[in-house]
Amino acid sequence: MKTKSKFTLRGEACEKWACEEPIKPPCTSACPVNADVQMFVTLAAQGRFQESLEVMRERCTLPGSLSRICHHPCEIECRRNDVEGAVNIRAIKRFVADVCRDVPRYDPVSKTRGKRVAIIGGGPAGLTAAFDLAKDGYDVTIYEKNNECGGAIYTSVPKYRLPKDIVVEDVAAIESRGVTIKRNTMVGHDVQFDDIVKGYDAVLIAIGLSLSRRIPIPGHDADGVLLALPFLQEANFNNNATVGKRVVVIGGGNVAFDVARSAKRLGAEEINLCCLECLEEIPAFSWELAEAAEEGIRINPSWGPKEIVAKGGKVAGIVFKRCTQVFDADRMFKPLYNECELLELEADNVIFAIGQSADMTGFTGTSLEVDERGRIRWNPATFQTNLTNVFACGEVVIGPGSSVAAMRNAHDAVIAIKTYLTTGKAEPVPTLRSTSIGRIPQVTISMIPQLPKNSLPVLDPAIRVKSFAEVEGGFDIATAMYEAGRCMNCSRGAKLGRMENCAACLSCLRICPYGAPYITAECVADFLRENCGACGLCASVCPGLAIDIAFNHDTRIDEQIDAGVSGVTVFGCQYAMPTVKNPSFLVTPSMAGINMINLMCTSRLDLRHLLRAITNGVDGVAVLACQEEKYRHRQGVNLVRARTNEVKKILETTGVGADRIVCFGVPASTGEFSRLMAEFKARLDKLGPNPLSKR
Amino acid sequence: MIVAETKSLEEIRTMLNSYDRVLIVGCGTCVAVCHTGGERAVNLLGTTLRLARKVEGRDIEIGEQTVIRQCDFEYLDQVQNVDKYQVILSLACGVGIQGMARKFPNIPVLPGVNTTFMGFNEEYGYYTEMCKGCGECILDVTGGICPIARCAKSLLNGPCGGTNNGKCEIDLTRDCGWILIYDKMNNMGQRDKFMKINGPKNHRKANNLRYMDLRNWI
Repeated sequence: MKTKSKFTLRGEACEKWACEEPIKPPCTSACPVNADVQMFVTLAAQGRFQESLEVMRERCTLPGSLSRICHHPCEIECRRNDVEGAVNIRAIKRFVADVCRDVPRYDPVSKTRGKRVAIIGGGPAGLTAAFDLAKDGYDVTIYEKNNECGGAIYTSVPKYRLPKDIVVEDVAAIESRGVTIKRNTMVGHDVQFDDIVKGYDAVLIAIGLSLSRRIPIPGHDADGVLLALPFLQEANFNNNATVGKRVVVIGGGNVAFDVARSAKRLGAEEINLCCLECLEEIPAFSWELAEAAEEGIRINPSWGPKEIVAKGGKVAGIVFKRCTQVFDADRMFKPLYNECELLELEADNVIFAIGQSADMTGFTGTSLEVDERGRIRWNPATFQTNLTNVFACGEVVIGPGSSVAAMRNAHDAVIAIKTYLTTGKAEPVPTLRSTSIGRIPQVTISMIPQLPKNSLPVLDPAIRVKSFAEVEGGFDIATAMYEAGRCMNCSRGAKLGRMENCAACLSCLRICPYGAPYITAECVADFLRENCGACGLCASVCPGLAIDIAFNHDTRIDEQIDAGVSGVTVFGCQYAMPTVKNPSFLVTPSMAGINMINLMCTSRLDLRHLLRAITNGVDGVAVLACQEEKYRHRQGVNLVRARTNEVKKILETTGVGADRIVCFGVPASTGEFSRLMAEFKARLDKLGPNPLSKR
Repeated sequence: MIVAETKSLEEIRTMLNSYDRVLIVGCGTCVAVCHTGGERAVNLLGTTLRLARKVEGRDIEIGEQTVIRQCDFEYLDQVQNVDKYQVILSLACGVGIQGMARKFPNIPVLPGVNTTFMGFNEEYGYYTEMCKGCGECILDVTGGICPIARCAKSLLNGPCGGTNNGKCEIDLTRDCGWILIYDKMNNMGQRDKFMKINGPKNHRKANNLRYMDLRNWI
């Protein structure tokens, strides 16, 4: 059975294709929120940054923030890893989010559903749910206990990783959609939970895990013993936050590294991070370890805290015992110790960063059920709690993890809430089906031109530890667009759309640079999706018009061509566009008098497209191909030129005039495209209007 | 495979000059493979003709259809609404065009292509002539290589004195057919057959090596 895709590939992609093909590119399949990564990267490659941001925001509700903190599993799965290195997707996202900071916010969506939803907690999960619900016409109110939404990413993620104004702007965009946010409003104190339950059609609890835990070892209550989250909040919002010279951090997760690196910036000189796990098991991201080590933080794996040594009620040091096992054979947490092997460290502060728990005080005395460990009882399939119209999502129910995982959970919770508000029943949320395309075959890898990867600039460790200034910098426009242009458009390639039209001529098989076409048992040509480079060469030569391309397919190109009835129509290779290096042109593809049609590759262009533009009455047609040495599909450039020449002949013979069409590759110099276009326009002015002009 | 090339636009326009309602019918087999008769070619020619007429300021109604083969009556049943048109422009080989002319006796059927040869698909857009359809096949004694089609002089007993390093004196880019035959027979251990003199054929006219190169076209 054919399954309708959950995602719309927005406008330019083939709806039919999306409906029929559940296979997704690996970036999208790997993304916890299933963001349409490939689409926003493509739009970024074309300089369409605002549209790119809109695609991001569909699933990734906090793009500015997430582009700084996401652990980017999309890049881990990127098929360019097998060529020369993954597309730097997170950096592209960051560029797009940053460059669009001045873009006006959304117009509020009218609340057409007539249903009110309250969300308790304005962290990543709550905000995501609010955005989804508001977009769909629900009247949404967020109750946030802090003075600003964002949850842990606002209060606890260090400023050197995520400046707070970025979070504030992300939240403002969500608010502009028509979401009401009641800030500084603590449930159980400023407003009662039962009143909320009565006052709204549905309630979503997304309060996250806002309390730090400690281990009750001897000395745990000594002066100078701190907890991770209060410490991080102090570092983020109190300019006078202080810490002693010697700091010991207990824990091996990302929060522990945040604590250690923040302590360094507050002036600590000797920082030891001690955790139960051995080096290979440390749960923090590998880049966190590397950056912390660069900053002089000493990492001590396989140690468990035994006791905190206090003198006069104040911390003086800490004793660790050797941890010989963290998990048992069933991966259950079951630490074992060698009590004879000890590590003694002097310390002015000991900071626990061993995990978080939920602050449930706001629900005390209400009928909301909690389990024996104090956690909300909920149904993970329906997101429903014991109260019919109360749902829960995010870390408070799924436990600690990444922000993006909590956001995914919120997206699903919204489906559950909408079902409840529509049908009055809580039903299991369907599992999202997303099959990833396979790896690139080894034989194909060698055929793919290599495009070196760009990394984000980072501050020198010696400089960055002196302040909370953001460690990572951003890309400039050219680098961002180049990096986006490295995307190989996996799964957007060819397929046999009309088998009955296949003449079995094997033109596709012979012209394909990647060895994708093959002969089927029915003796027609079809395509190995894993091999396909999505260049479109095959479709543009198929004599039977039997091949469909998933993106920029013929129908869509025709629509774009028809949008131009005067001036010049430019068919531009999206990968040539970065070489134009003219931001104003790139951000606004429709220059005055120019109908700009971005093609994934000009290999996809065929004679009929060029003729159609002329027939529509435009004065001229320009084909903006890549420079020859940059062509991603080596046979393509000659074919594009040959097609242009063939149209020249036709235009000459029909009396329209051969000079109305031009093909050029744009050198990578500023303004070159503008100069060439000015020359072409001057030539067209001399020729006078197209005899078919409708003017 | 039958290879054909599209007639020049001037010739087609001249043929159609007195008609305002034209049905272009493509053939989806042989001439589709050489990019002359398939749906793309039909569409491209239709667009071009509309363009030309627009420039002239004259209207033209063009129908576009493509059938599997025009050399089979049964497939020609699929051609529809012929009555709407004054003329059919067939993008098929000469056989198909004649089939159309038989199928539709009351409407002119004009050729949109020149049928050139029976060819072999060497690579994308490049076809070489392999057979002349001479009616007296001797491939059994020439190692499966036709001297009529692949020798510029259609010699029955070659090579001629013009062969040079295995190439033909008529076209230095082309292999000498008789050298190919000699090598093949030699490799098969059948050089004795090569020594047998083939009797004369009744060639009605001289043949040239023919090929068709579309590789830099579309």
